[in-house]
Parts: sequence; structure tokens; C-alpha cells
Amino acid sequence: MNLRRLLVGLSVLAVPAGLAVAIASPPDRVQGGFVRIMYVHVPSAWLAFLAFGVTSLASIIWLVRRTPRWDRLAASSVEVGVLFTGIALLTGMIWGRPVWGVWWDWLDARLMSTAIMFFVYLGYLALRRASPGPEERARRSAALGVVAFIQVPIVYFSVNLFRTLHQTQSIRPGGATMDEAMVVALLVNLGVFTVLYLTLLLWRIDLARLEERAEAETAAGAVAGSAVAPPNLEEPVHG
Amino acid sequence: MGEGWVVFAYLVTYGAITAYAVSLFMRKRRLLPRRR
Repeated sequence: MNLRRLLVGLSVLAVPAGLAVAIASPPDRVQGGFVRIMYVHVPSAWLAFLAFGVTSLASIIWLVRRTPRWDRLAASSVEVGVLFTGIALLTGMIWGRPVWGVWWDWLDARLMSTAIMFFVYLGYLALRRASPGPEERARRSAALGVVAFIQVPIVYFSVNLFRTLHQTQSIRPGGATMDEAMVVALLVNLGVFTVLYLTLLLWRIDLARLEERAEAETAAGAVAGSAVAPPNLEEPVHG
Repeated sequence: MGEGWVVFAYLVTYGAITAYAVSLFMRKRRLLPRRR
């Protein structure tokens, strides 16, 4: 309970701090103020990668231990990851329109691989809704949660593997291709988005726990209901 | 230069996060037992 309150408090403080740092950061020499979209676009994409990484790890642990908490963590992290992937796609489009002149490029490797990743993880959420029973649902989701993670390195390295419209990474292990003030603003906003991710993740896990309880109560009610239901004495109707 | 697009991007970002947080709150409230 205290951790959740702490994270909500941190979120309330962190968001204005992230905005202030973004506003104070210098404009780009070529694209001017549009560069400030980077401070929401890039952290969203990074947090989506982290979220799907958490899902993959939690899925592996579920396959070994088969305890519901790891399934809850995996599924909750996917939902938040899909939110951040959607934000990365939308802010990328909003950035692309004035800078590239187009909202979308169907032949761009980074854009298309991110869109495919978005729909695969939406499929993960659909699979959970379509699966019968908690055990079967967790088993199917864990398998997909592990396999689907292969997309994260593909999306990340797509800009190096294919030379299309999207630029290569601005921050990489060797250093950054940006001004120091921009790197600081980006890292501060990465911290802000990490706090937001943790807050939303914990809330989603709490909700998942309630959903499981409600599902168990409904299942118990259905069993009890069928036990006391009167026998069907009528002849079955044949068409 | 480009303030309108930047503001639009930030509105979309924080609007989506807020909408998701509210949806979590509403879904949680629906599942909690009702108090008299």
C-alpha cells in the first residue's frame, strides 16, 4: 500500500519536472523545437521494450513455478507495454508529419516492425480473453510471452539492419550523437516514464488480483448452481 | 517553431496515460464489493 502511494506521489512530482526539463532543453539546429517530441517518444518506446522484457521473464518463471503471481505480472506488463507502444507510434507520427512530411512510411523498417509488435501484443491480450480457465490461459500466454519478445531486438536493431527513413539510435553504448543538455533531458524523462510504468503496473496487478477473485467466485457459483438445479425431465428436442 | 505539434504530442501522451489510469480505477471500482 505504501509503495503505491509513494509511486503516485513520485508520479505527481515527476511529470511536471519532466515537462520543465523538456521545455528548458535547447532546440535542435536543424529541426528546431520539434526535437522536444523526442522526450516523450523515445522514453515510451524504451519503456515498452522494458515492459515486454518483464513479461518475457515473468512468463519463463511461470513456466518453471506455475504460480499465478507470475502470470499476473506478465499479463499486466503487456497491457502497460501496449499503451507505451501505442504512444510511441502516435508521437512518432506527430513528429514525422512536420519533420519528414509524412505521417507514416509503409516501407520503413522501424515503423513497420513497431506496428507489428503492437499488434502481436494486442493479440496476446486477445488470446487471454479467448482462453478457457486460468491454468490454460496462463500456459498459452506464457508461451506467447516468451516467443513474442524476439520482436524487441528486431525493432531496436531495425534501424541498423535496414537503412530506411527512421534515423539510427541517438544514444548507444559508444556514446550519444546529441548535445549533453538533450541527453540529460532525455534521461530525466526516461526516469519519469519509468515511475509512470511502475505505478500503472502495480495498479494493473491489483486489478488482475480482483479479476481472478471475481472469476473464482463466478465459477464456484456456477458449480453450486448446477448442483441444486432441478433435473431436466423433458425429452430432448431433436431438429 | 513547431510548438503546436509538440503540444499535440504531449497532449496525446499524457492524455493516453491519464485515460488508462482512469480506466484501471473504474474497472477496479466495478469489481470491489459494494458497501451499503
